[in-house]
Amino acid sequence: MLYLLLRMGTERYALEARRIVEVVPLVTLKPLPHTPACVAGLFDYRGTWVPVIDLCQLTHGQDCAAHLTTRIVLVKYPAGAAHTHILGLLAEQVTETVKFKDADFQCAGLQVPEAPYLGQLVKADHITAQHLEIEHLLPDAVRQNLFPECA
Amino acid sequence: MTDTVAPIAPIVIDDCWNRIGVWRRGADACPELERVIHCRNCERYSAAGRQILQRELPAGYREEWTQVLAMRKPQSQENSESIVIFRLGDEWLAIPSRIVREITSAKSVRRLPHTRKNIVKGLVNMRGELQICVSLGGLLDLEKGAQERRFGSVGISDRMILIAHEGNQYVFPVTEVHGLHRHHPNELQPAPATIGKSKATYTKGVLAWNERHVASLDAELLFHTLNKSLT
Repeated sequence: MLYLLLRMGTERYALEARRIVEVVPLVTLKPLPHTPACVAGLFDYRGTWVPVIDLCQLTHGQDCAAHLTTRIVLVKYPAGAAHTHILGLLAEQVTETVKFKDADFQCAGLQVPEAPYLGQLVKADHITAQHLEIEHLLPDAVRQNLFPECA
Repeated sequence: MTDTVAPIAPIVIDDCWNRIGVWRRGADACPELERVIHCRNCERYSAAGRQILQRELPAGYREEWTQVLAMRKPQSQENSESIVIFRLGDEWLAIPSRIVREITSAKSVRRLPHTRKNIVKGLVNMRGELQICVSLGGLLDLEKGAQERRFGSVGISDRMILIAHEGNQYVFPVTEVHGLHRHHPNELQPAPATIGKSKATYTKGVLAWNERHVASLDAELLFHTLNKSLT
């Protein structure tokens, strides 16, 4: 399957390409007061306001650098049984897609309760990355803030 | 996210493609070249290219993209259908382009005895495969056009269209093929009640195109009738 590679801090992570709606350049975000630091803000995506999560802030407590390769990955975030929301993920060095086989993935061996979104490790062709599980990405408090109906 | 830009380390690029790659001058060639043949296939070359993007945003970049993304995508791009428009005598017709496999110049048709002559015309050789040639005009009960031609005469614009759907393939001759056209399903108007009964059955809707009216045919129904007419 096809995966999009991105970087948070010094580490590489992989997102399933079939969950992605569009990858867009860094835009001006409207900040949301009284939200956790990982909520970077909102932007107008073709007529709907889409919340953007700063993945570097979520994992490393640091803002993503404003580079040309820092992009917003719009993903389908599952809300309830049949409904999905569009969620923006801000990450660094979004420049590459790779094809991984299911056999390339291996269990990380330890589960961090604070980071349930970190999935299996994958290694192929000099690339080591960790799978990001979109459905476990948002902490409960943030999910209830952004999408109250799926609580 | 704040607008203060984190300090960026100066970009250091080792241009090995100029030293030992395909743009080298005299020096020994890179051992990797045997595998990748040209530097543009090498991971080091593409990694260096990506590194160049690792820089600050140009002025106005964010604002411009913010505006671009706030605009809706043009409606006509969504759910639009692609059709192939062709002429049969005096009539302009269209079929969904997903069922069209090939359009060729006119070929000779080998007649088959004891077939329903108005629909099945015979067999045609398409790239070494025999395909059943049908008459769309016979199926739709179209009257022969005003500029009727001598039997067997072939015009310069005559074409054969090979269509396929769920394992069934047919070829039919047409007088002229315009080409592909995209339209939104809303642009289709219902077929007027005055057109011939059997043509109306197969017409999904009428499309205004270049001051003409094109009857868009229903592919499923077309194949259903063609399959039935062979048995």
